[in-house]
Amino acid sequence: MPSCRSNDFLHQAERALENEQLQTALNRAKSGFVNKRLNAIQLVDDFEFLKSKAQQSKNYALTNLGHLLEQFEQKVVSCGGHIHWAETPDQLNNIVLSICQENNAQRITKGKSMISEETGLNVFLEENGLRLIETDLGEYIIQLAKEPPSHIIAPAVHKTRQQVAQLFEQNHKLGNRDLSEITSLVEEARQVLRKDFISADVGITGANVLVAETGSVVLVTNEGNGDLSASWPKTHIVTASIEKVVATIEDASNILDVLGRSATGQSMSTYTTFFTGPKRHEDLDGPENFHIILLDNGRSKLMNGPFQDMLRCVKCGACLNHCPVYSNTGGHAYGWVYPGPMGSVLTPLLNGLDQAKPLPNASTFCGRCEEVCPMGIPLPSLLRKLRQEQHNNKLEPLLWRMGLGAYTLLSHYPRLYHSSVALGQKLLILTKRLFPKKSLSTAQDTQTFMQQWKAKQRKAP
Amino acid sequence: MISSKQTILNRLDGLRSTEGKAKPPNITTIQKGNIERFTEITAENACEIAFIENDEAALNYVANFLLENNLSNQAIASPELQSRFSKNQLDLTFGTSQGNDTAAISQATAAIEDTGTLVLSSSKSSPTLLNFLSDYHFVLLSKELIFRTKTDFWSWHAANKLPMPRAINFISGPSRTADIEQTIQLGAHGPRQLHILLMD
Repeated sequence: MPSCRSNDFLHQAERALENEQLQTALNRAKSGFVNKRLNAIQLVDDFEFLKSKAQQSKNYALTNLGHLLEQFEQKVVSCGGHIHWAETPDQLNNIVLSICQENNAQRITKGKSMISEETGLNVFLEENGLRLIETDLGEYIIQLAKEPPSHIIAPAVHKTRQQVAQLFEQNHKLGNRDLSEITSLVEEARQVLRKDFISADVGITGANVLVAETGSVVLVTNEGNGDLSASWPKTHIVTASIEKVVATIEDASNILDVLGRSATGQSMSTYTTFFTGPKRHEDLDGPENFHIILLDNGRSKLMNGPFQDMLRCVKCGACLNHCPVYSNTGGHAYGWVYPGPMGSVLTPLLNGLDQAKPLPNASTFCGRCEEVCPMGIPLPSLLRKLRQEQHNNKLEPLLWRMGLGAYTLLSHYPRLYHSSVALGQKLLILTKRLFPKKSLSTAQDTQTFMQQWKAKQRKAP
Repeated sequence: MISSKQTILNRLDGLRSTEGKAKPPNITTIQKGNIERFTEITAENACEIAFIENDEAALNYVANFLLENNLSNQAIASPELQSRFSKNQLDLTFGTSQGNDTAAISQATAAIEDTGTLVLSSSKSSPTLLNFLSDYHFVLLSKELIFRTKTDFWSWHAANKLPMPRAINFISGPSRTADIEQTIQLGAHGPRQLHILLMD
């Protein structure tokens, strides 16, 4: 699992705010996703109805998760596929490695998979001597830059076209050429990656939904890179987390109805594929080996607990796009795989509360994330619950706890409270006089609000 | 030693009931799609759409396109079309793509009106890679196979007891990306253009 640097959120956020290139990229992206989503849901008669159907499907799946996972396994096996269960990220990585070794694979193409980001799969396979190429354009760019994704559906949203051009010049030995236009960058990636697609031994993809009744893996992309990774190589490996399973094709359709609209503002993404088993005997293409690895990594422990709602997340990214904190800091500041509101909830749950202490506070609690979440996840209240657990586990900084303690005490005694506020006011004015150059307080009045109020009451007839 | 599977399932124990919503069998009537609306939405999805009289006209359409765009006169087609395509000015082969085809011709299993989507199913005579490796993808579609929604398609699929093939591709336009500065570019890894040839 990649190390979690979420405890350094405050410094990372500060650095992000000072990073001019990042701010340029973020400002360009700002309204894009938001407006596209709005247009898409306005074209639907009743988006709230679609949301409620998707939520019902997911809630049913979560209440029957064990049963559905077993049904899914039986179906996959009966179609000729293989299922592997991984409790931890290390187990998932090792299963992928052994499948590659069994098949003498050297070259791997990979479609986008957040689960593999969670397990640190790329680094692990490279350390074991395999050549792995990310093929989603955004993922490819950040692979060249040796950075983690900064957004769950737009991994390179923090990069400007100039930075992408520079990366391509450094990594593709193609001589002098004009890379100033986005068109030429996309074309160059197409040419370069096409060679990788058609020489790959193994293709790895994620999954957007797993369907128990048919044993199908549903994959949603726009570029077609996932399909090329799934259909060219001799072996297709799917990395997915356990909560991706739903009961029926109809349930999968309900989720697809809200996924594209919430993510990229498309009623349906360009490519949605249902993969069921390996190549049939007489098929002309498709993988001979079809493996699905189901990762738990702490999710089963969230079932039936106060954070179960988080397992409804379909990773559309709408909460990131609408978050005032994410829009200013970008994703890297959050310090792990998942950024934004959903990341602020998931990171401490999967890594431990003490590993991501600032994240439950990385929010203005404006509530937009909950409003736009197609799965109705109450993100602000989950963040509040995490704060509460932090407090119960005494995880806040000592000064913070002392401050809270003092406040609790004072708020029990109104007179003591008011006189302390008055004292504080005087102290502020005094320090301002002593250090006039430091902008310590903006207080203009010499009296507290309550003092002024009382004075006013006395004057009134 | 307890396997990972058992550990995970044990934690989910008690979640193995089948209670919850009783799932009524889906006996909704299968609604056909509106062709005009379908052509509008596919055009919004950046597809080219043409009404074609017959198979010969379809081949002529492809040949003309290649000629007009100064492209080589070659195309690869899905083997299921072999019996339907007669000799023509096109240099046609049948099979799956090896990654260097300019034009590919496939037959759609069905289409979906409300999202402007083509449905292509893999089989021994309908290879999947044709849908992704060509620069220009031409898809034949019978008008009567356009359904109103995904659900209508799946109901039709179930009513006809069609098996799940290895891959069912729902395709809603040419390949695209917005990964650089959120600017939409067509022709990311898959086809640069998607032509729908609508037939009776």
